[in-house]
Amino acid sequence: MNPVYITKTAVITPMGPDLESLYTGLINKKSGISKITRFDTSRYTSPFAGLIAGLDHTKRLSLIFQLSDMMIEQLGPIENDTFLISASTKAGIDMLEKNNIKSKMLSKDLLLSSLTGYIALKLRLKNKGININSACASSTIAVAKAASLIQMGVVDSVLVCCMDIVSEFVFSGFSALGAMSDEPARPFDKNRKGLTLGEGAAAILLMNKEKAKASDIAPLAEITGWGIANDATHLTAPDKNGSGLKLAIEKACKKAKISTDDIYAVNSHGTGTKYNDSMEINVILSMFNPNKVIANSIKGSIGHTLGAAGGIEIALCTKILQEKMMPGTFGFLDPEKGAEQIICPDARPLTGDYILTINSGFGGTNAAIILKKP
Amino acid sequence: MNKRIMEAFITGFGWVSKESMGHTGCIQHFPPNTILPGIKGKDILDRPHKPFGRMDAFSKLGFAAIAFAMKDAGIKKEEEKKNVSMIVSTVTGCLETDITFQETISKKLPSPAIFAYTLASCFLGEACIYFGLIGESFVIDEAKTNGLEGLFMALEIIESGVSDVVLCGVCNSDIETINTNSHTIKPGSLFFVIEKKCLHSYGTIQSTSLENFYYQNNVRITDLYELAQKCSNREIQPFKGPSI
Repeated sequence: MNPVYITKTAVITPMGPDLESLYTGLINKKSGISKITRFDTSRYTSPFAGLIAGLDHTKRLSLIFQLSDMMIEQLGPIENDTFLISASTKAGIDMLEKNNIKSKMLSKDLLLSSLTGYIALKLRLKNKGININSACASSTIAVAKAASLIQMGVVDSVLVCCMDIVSEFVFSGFSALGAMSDEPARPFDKNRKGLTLGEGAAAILLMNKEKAKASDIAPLAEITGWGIANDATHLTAPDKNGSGLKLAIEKACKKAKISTDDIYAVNSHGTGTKYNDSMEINVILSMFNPNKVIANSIKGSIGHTLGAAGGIEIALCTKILQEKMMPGTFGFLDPEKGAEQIICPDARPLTGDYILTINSGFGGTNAAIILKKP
Repeated sequence: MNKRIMEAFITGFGWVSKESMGHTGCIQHFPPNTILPGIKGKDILDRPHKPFGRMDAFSKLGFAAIAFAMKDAGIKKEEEKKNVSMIVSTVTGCLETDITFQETISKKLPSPAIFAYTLASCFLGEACIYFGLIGESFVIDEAKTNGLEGLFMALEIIESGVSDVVLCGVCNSDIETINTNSHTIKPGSLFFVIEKKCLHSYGTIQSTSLENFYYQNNVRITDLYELAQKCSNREIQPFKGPSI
């Protein structure tokens, strides 16, 4: 089997314009969540979101393309034979607010494939790529599919670009669903009230061994395992027993040829909603040794970035493997039952060779990725 | 690097179009008109299924083609969950539903019931729940409108041993208000069941790359509707073993 390496990343989050600012901010327990001025939030549950400095909603260009430009600038040149997979749940949905919806001709920027096309054009890639959309597990699945295509020898390298923005469209929807907290999210806390939305972008370049060597790039991490599974129980809530997430983790471990006993660190989805966090605590406690494993969530610091979440967290995991230090969980003050055994409130040294990152989403979707320092 | 030849058997397909809906064993034709049919639960399912009535039009469209394809392949709804994966390719996604939800925001009453369907992947979740499917499920948003990248990913899932059965297809709303430049969107839905092994099939589908797809080893396929046409013209064949 061809090993799959992450050779380059670019990250933009509410914590700052790169991976370093995200990692340092998380280690120092900072928050990138602030009050929204982009639109009026007085009708909604919360005034808070994790927003990226420099995005201008008054411009005609969708915020998603502005964010793409930032990401591409940070990423630098990419070889034009690289296959492109983008991951986004709603991409340029803010164009629906900018368009007159009664108009006879809406902007094609509303189509999710427009984001992929925009990135491909800007990077002058030979292919137009595809966008993968599976709710909040979109980018984790995109990275998993990219890894599989490389491992099977279909392509030598894949660029996965993950991003979503905070729009009134999505914000009002989560508010209407009653899933949003009126204060910044507190993942795994007994008094958590729901999620806080965020926006962000991550680009992850994956290569096989030969391509990495030929490109003279030192790998940042090896993707050793991945798994995707569905709960098949509920459209908007996770299975309480986490059946789909467990299956995704089992598949990832099988692919990596390791057991859960070999994994000492878990970057959880940790949205701050009652159901998600309880489900994840159940899954981690039932599958891992609580005396060995530590877990965290970064969504108390940057918000839930939806389709970008998995990508940002995978990029972060490469940094965690390099620095051997796991960030804590911002907002985690009074542990939910069971969380005190596994969730770290503060940064802790990373032991072991592997880190697992997991995401779940609407439609019962779940995905897991295992990374190892090369 | 040597490119693998990936191959699987087509064991069922189902569709909804402006002209007809169903599967090869049961086709409902419509009088000539210009809109997609309104789909009712009883048109596609043997038993009442309340959530179907709550779905948006895009989800009903996709769910119906999945149900027809499952029936055509002889896969029944059972208590036991099945490791079946699902991939849908789309250009429009659920944009029609997005527009409806945006109208509720404008009226200062955002609807949670509509918002739940503003993800194109939601109908895959609905199908997973109804049929008990626990494999991979995701949407591919494509610009080319041929559904072949989804078919490739489906073959990859079978080849890599993730699932032995995969549903893959296309689903597009009838939106005339979106400017897609050069591509014409075919409104409707079409799903195939492809399997690693089977007793009877419509034939095989092969791929060596994201660009090259062949029906029965040598008939080049350029989109999923063309593949359905080839399958329709061929009687179901007994399994004679893999051809490669």
